[in-house]
Amino acid sequence: MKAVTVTQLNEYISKKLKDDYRLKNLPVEGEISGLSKSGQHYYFTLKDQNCMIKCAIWGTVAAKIDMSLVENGAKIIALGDISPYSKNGTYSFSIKAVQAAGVGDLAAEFQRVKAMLEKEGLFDSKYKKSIPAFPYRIGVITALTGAAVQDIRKIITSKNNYTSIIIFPTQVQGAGAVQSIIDNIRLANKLADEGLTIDTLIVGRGGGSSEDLMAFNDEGVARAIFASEIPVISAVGHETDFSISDFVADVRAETPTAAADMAVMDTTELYNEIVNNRRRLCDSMSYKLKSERKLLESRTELLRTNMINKASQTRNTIEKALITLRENDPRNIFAKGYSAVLDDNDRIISSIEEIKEGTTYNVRLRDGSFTAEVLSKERN
Amino acid sequence: MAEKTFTEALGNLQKAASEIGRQATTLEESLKLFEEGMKEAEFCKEILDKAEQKITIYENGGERDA
Repeated sequence: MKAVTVTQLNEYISKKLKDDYRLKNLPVEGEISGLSKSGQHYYFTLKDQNCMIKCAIWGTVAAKIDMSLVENGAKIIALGDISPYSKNGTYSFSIKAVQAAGVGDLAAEFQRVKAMLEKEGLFDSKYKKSIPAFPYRIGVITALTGAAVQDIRKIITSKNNYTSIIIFPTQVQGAGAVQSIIDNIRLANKLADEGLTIDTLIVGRGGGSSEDLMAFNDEGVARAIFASEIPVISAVGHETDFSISDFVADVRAETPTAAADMAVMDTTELYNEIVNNRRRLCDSMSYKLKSERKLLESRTELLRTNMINKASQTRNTIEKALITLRENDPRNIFAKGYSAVLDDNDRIISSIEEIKEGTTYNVRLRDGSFTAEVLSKERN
Repeated sequence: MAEKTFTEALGNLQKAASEIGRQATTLEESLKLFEEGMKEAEFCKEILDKAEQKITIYENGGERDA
């Protein structure tokens, strides 16, 4: 058997494609995805529900057409030729003109699901559960191979040595992705019955084209997230990607890395927090004790001083009284030569008015007394 | 349920530490806050010390190490 070379085969197919007039100036309708630019040239795929084709708009053409029509998710009608590339055995659609064909199906479906769920109240803040501050176990629903799971693992273990991670290997794109995500959200919730309690769920994936992320815009996935009793952090794609999952989840993280970061606390910080609070307790206690002791000492001192003052005041009063008493001792007056006139009741007579003529009175002197009769009286 | 008790204990510790520092807190109250706060601190520390972080993959109805 005589074999042809690969080159011969590819060149033959190339020629066939090039010669086919039906593959020239052909209008093709599809949705743009995976748009990229290299130099002046634009590359993307046009797709419908089942198939896709690689497309290129060369720099010379791009300068002549309205490039604002060319964006991810845009549905366009592109006029172009099939260009074979015999070296790789591939072909692409080389575009010469573009016109809009309305909003792309994926974008329209996104808006439809979003509006419907929003109307049903699935995005309401009243349904948002708070994310546990100190989770014991975190469930991660994402692809087992991929940047997302690695990022989540790296972030959690770098800042926290307490929280366990349980990964649910999930298909996140392509046929079957939706069911895989839904099944694992339900499974994670069901494990509580087996004593495997999960405190927080991270549901997501790393960046990709809008088709890659579309499972997270699915109505069923949204409803599964809404029904999850475990609080859900949604982490789909990059900062600029918004998915339906983001709206329905309890919290949206911009990226899987951000999700991991918000899911756990830094255990070193927690340690410091505990140590600091303990120090505050000790410092305050010792300050309190010291100040109370000082207060006690000063109060005791005050009590003692007041007692001393009181005693000395009393002593002074007694002494003063004694002096007054002594000064007024009648014996001192008698000693000076004065005498006192007393009536029958031993009452001192101090006025001439009380004296009655012919009456006898007792007269007391320093060293004795005698009885005297009043013969006469005279007022001063 | 470690989450709830740890968070609660940490909250109690923070509360005790801030209340004990207040001028109006009496010595008796301070002693009580101190004792309670130290207990909460010990509780939190113990939880962190006993950490056994595990990373597993759940597949075919069971866990395996990742």
